[in-house]
Amino acid sequence: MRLGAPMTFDLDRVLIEDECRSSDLVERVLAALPAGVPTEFVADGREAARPAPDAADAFAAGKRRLVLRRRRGAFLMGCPAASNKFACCGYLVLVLASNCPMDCSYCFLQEYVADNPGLQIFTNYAEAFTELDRVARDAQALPLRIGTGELADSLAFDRMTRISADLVDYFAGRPNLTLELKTKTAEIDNLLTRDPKGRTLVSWSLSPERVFRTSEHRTAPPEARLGAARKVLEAGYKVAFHLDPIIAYDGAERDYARLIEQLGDFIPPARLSFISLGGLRMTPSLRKRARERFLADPMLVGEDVLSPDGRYRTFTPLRLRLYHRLREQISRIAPALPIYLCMETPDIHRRLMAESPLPPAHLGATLARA
Amino acid sequence: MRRSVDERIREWAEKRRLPQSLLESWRRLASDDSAALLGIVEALPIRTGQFTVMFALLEEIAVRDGESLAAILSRAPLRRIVDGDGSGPAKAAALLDALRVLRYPRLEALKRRLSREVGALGLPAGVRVALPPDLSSDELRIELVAHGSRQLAGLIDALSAARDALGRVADALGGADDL
Ligand code: SF4
Repeated sequence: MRLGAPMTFDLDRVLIEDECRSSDLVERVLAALPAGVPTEFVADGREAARPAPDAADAFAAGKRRLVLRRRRGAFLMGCPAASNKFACCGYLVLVLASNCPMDCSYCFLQEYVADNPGLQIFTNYAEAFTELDRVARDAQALPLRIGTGELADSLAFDRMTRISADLVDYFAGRPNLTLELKTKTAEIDNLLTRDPKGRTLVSWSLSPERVFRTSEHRTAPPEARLGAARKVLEAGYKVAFHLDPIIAYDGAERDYARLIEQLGDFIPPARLSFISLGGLRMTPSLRKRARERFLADPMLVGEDVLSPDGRYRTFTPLRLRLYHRLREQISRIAPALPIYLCMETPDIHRRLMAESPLPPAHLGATLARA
Repeated sequence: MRRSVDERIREWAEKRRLPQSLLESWRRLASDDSAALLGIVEALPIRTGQFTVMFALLEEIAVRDGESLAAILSRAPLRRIVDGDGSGPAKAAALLDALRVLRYPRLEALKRRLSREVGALGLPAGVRVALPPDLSSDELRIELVAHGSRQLAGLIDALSAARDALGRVADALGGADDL
């Protein structure tokens, strides 16, 4: 098995908000920084995360600047992809960091955090636990699935921050909450030191080797992700996969079939919690930005057309064909495994699953229990 | 004295009021590519809008196939159009169509096949079957336009007779076919 190289950072500097000087997290990060990275104190970390005006690629420049700051707003929010146009999964997002040291050509953060592309880690993350306590209380017995991997990869910074350990410990004592750590890394060392007591699920976004090579820069290779998944499963974590984004390049059907076989070789299918499917989708401005940043990426020039929801997607019959094939293949190795679609309409859901999608809260509860 | 490729490009761009950014992109291409593109616009009466679309299609095909623009433009089906018979505007339109087929091979093939299948049903003029634009959804839309109950009954009968064939079209929109 090819092991992924540990997560590396390509930092020009680290900016620390004045009022966070004495934070534990700052201490941890500074101790883990590669030698020679200059650090500076700033009054307002939000300003430090803004795009560099003179950079040719301000988003890439943002990924080289680490900002440690206090989060002013709420840590918990609804999933940014949620919409009444889509069959949603009732996901809640815990924002502990923003932007990502990896650089996938299709990443929605290129648009979503274009105005504040600095890598940000929120030093007051412990305040999130108070919000979680409240949500857990309000939800009563309803199981909730809460993830940290929307505005950043859940484990990309973990070598420096070790926040995953605190999170796993917190969720271990909350019977109606499930933490989802979503990642494209193999950064699991800290997880292996904890006992999740069945309350933490680690999920990997998984793509065929070809997509990894052309488009998922600085991420762990698919095999390393699968190897890491097997290790956390053995350590008592739940494991799930997101085949997202599914890219319909020539040969994709064969490559995704092989990927699912490979997944089944690494993880006993009966022990998987769920698999989600999501076709590549890009707003026109994200597509434009991604094409400018990754001129030679063949995955960004598939047979995508403007869809009724205003996003570029693979034309529908081809997208649906791939979904059908994947679903059949997954059902063959894991007949009872929950499969859900991400950011697709209820109509597409019905076409694929031959039934109406569950309401978001219901699906969320099912996935939290899975 | 012969004018350089760059001069000819600028001249063409000026005459066609090509946006500056597009002109710059053209001039930034490798010399074989910019010359090949110039060869096309000098051979055919390509309008500015057509050039914009052609340029984008070519660039995207080049990225996907890992080929140069010059190599794409020298492919036999495209050369046949440029060097073949027909009026200049018809050849320009055919060239764009052919580029679109190269850029979206499975989409164009399915669109054409489904249109042919719907056409072959020979439905009366009052039955309009609309495929979703660019097959961007799985929705098959059928409209009946009748003037009076007799005509309506006739249209419904015609539609019923085409039920299985239309069902296959609807399934194809849902990804039932090999692509
Ligand atoms: S790993 Fe995820 S968050 Fe990071 S760049 Fe890739 S898609 Fe974006």
